[in-house]
Amino acid sequence: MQRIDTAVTHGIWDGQLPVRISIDPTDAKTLASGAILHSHYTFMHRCSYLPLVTESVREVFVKSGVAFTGHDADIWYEYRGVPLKWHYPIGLLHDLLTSQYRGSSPLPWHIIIHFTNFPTDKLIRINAANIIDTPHDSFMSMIKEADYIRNGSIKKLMSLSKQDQTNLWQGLSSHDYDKFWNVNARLVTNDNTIPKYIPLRVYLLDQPVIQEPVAPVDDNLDCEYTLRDILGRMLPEIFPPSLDAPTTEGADNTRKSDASEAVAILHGIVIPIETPILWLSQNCSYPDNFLHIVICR
Amino acid sequence: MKEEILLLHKPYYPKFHVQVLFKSRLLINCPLTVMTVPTTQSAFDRTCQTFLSHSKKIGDTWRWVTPGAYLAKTVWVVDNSNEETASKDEESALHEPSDPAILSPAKPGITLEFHVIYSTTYACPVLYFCGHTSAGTGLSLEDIRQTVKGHMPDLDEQKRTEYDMPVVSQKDHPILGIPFYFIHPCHTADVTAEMLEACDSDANYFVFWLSLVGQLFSPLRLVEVGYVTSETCCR
Repeated sequence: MQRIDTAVTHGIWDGQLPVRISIDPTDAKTLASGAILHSHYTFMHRCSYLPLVTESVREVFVKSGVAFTGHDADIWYEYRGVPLKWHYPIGLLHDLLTSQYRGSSPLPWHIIIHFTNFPTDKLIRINAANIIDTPHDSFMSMIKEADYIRNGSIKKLMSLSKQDQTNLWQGLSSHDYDKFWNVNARLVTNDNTIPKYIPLRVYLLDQPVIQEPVAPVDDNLDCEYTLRDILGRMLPEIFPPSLDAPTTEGADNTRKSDASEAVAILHGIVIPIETPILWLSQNCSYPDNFLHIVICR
Repeated sequence: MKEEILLLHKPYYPKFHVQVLFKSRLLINCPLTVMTVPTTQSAFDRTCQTFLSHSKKIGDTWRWVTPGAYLAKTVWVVDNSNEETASKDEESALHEPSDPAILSPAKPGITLEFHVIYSTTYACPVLYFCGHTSAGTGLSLEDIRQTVKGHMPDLDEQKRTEYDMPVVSQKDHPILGIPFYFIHPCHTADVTAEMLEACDSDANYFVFWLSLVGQLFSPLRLVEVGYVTSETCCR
């Protein structure tokens, strides 16, 4: 059952996104009157979260003349007018908001940093007392939900020692693969039992997130469902359910052309649609234990 | 451990239900491990329709929202934050006007929006809420609490569930995609599972759950007493 492919998990863990960060022009006027502010170029880990990079990004802008004396919890980011949900992994934000490029968007990803006017109607507030508390709770909430989805309880996660639970977040925030995966492997392999359902969320731009109970195998435990099976059930108009085993090449070609429009993106990669969902969940989930799959049409 | 659960859940039970709960041994037998409530989105939808027909009968203002399929209720709360010592009847703190705009110029107040949305993960209803001023400005939980008489002490962002999650925090509304406060379902899921067994119908279970979670907003009332005194009372 345990099928952790460390080449894959290392690759995902180390995935980075080149990002260009420019200051909002209004903020530049009020906080750095007249100064010419260059964009800041950096790499961000796809599996990380924006509040975890805010401190270092803020330092760069303050050094270059931005008179920001507020709290890091007031800082927020935007891409083409859309405020970036800080509780989404950075890789998911990029994949979702550039989904019209179908996995080959121009890089670096150009986002805007704001130091004022936090949009409380669009973004979840961050507790100013400790900028890490809210993201930490948000992350642990997801990982507990994932455990609940797999097992119908949060028993497995709650049975981890306090230290192990802490190591999950610390491993993520300090980008320490071993610290994180030593604990995470027990969660994603579910102690070698087949999970009841797969922690999976499916995203389409400007539509509510789809989250439904998704079983990894059929009732008789003899057939593993693939990503195609799952998406075919969730979004039959976008992913027409596959026909029975094609008997001729002609039938196969017809099927391919039906589904050729839409692709499923995860970690910036177009995922082969015949991948078994259980393998995908164990190896390609984000650190919050969810598969966050973006559909590009 | 059982004692702890008893204490943790006690504040969330409406007074008129506590006896029933003890009789059905819900509080005492509450298991720590959570089993999935045998219900589905479509069962939830049916339950809501039954609930809504009762709701209309007794003049409660819950409504059904589509697309999205969820229950919603809007309540207008008169701002009591500046009259701590006023000895007004608590009931008058809550109005449900057909048009909030009529009342708002006379007395400052806020609008609270409550949504009940089915969680496919926890297989139970989840209560979401948000508050706005009459000008439409979004309010923080602290702003909301300060406005409501009594300050709703149980609605505390510092409080944690037995699974170490905040009892109340913000989350994206599953359908609207914008931040709403919500009551974390992980601590009510185990109770609702048993409630379902103790209730003679899904609709009763729902009223039961809603009045339970609604206790957090006391003195505001999310469900009118009419549900309980009628034939919908839990057994």
